[in-house]
Amino acid sequence: MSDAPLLVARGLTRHFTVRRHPFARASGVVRAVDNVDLTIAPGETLGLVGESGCGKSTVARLIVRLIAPTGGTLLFDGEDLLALSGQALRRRRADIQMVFQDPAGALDPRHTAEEIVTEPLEIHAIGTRTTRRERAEELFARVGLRPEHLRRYPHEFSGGQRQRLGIARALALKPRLIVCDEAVSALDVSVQAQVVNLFKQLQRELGLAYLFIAHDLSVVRHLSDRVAVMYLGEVVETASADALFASPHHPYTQSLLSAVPRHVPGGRPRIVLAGEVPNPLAPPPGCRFHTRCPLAFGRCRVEAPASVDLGGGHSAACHLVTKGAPAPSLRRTDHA
Amino acid sequence: MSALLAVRDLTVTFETTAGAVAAVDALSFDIGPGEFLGIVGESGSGKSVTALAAMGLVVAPGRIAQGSIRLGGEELVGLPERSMRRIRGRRMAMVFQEPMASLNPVMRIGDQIAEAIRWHEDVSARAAAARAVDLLGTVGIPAPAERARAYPQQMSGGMRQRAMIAMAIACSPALLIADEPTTALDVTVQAQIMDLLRSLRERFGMALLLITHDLGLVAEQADRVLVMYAGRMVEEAPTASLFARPLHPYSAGLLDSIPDIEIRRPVLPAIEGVVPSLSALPPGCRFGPRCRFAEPACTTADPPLRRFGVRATACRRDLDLARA
Repeated sequence: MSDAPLLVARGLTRHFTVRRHPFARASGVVRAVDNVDLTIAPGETLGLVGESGCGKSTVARLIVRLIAPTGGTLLFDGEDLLALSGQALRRRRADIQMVFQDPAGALDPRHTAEEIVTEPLEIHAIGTRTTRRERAEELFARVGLRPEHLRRYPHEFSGGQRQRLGIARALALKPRLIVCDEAVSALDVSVQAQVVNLFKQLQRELGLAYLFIAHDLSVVRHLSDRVAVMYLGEVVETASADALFASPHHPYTQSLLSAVPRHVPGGRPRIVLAGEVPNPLAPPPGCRFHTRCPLAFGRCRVEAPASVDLGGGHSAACHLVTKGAPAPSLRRTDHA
Repeated sequence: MSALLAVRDLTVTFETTAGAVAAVDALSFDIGPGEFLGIVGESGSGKSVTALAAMGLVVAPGRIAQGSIRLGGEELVGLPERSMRRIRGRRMAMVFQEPMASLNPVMRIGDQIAEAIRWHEDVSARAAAARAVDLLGTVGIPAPAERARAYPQQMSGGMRQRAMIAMAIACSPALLIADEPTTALDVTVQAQIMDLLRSLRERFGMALLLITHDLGLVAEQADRVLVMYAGRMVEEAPTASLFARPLHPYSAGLLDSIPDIEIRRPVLPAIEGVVPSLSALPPGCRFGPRCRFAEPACTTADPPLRRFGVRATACRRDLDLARA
């Protein structure tokens, strides 16, 4: 699987310039995504987690090329995505599709479900009216919608059905990678499970790769083969889902996992971080996590840690992490 | 145990173009002094409307069609707004999901808290301001004297929610209602806010009513849980019993359908179908069309809530289930 990756991001960077008003001089730079490396194999799910403002949605928008990076490279199937333009870019876009968090906001309320699903085919001039309609019916069956739903408008669907419609549209061009940005976060729990199962089923049937972005770690755990954790624009840890959840190494990953409520009474000891995510306009020097890290020491305040390869595809960017040594322990440092 | 809050047969209806629909239908429950009760349900289950009804905040087109809500023995249903205002904030208070929508954007945080104190208590402006600063410290806001002079938009989401909690506990209410208080917050901040609510409850002996869609939040802390579905209570149980052995098929399905961070399953056992619209409820049991145990008899009558000791469930099969 690792021989020919589908998507490779190297040093992916996006900085936004901030101005006090439209004609003002730039007053600062937000390093929304800073030097991020990601790899996704064909048919694989990479989970991307982190709190609001960590840059995970910006990564999504960079990969589907809704916005351009300010640095780094992006290869799809060995081809440089950033060098593409015009026709070539349009063709490539068919391979990478996106499913959004709020299906109501991502679907045109004045179009019928059929128009929504066939629009990508029209844009790419695929098929005739009849074959496009057949394709729509086939896609509907795949995502668990009924043929009579084709004539309905988005508001006539429930939240879960709307998300199925969004998925059908994303599948229309037979993509190989789907970027899911909080795709199940707005759904009720009982419906969320249905859509999560649908994502898994589609992956089995169509060999899709997913970049699955979510703040809900339990859902990410359930769907992902590998997981990357972001904090303030940087990837702090990457590992197989099993390794990451069984043995998180970065102190941020450890506290993030322990903050998730378990559906078991009593729970378990929890590491509650002090403070909140710092302002991305003025990220802390050195390790960006040091202001909240219970284990921070002198070096963390001045020197940004490099990513340490722990073997087996597991890496973490922390001065306290060493290959072969146990993960730094945050227990007994609980803040009351 | 004499209840702090006693809700009996509460029905809240909303007038719609399709006629009146009952968002909450014949709901009864108690909260004891100092107790932590969780109400769990999905959208449209009636959990938030229940909280609003208790606070006397149901407004047109909604109305309390029947039932009684007693706080410390005093009937709140039908109480004039003037009297309700003396109770709200003083004897019970509420924290909402989105603090920005509840805070005044053009008034300093400290002034807003002081205003709430002076509404209920005859204290000087200076004393109220000093208490506001103390309260901000109590809820864990660093440099409280400085932050009291901040406007809401100058604070982060977590800090705003702390400020809302400071305002809610300003007059030491006996009951604090929290409606999805952490849903808009990041998971590490959510953990901080839940820790804060827990420590405040211990310190001041408040009862806490937590309304949430997140079973994980009630699992860790609540004494007792109510599960609501389409306006009705379907199950009530001590938290440990509910999670160990849910009696209602909906509660069981809900617990099953949530992915767990430590256990990975190939397929999530989802509940098929969708929550019914309140204006087009199925005949008989409201959960019937989605229930894997449904039988023809389930479509003839909506099963009443039946009690087994400390537990209660509204399922026709409850006796089999209780024995199973």
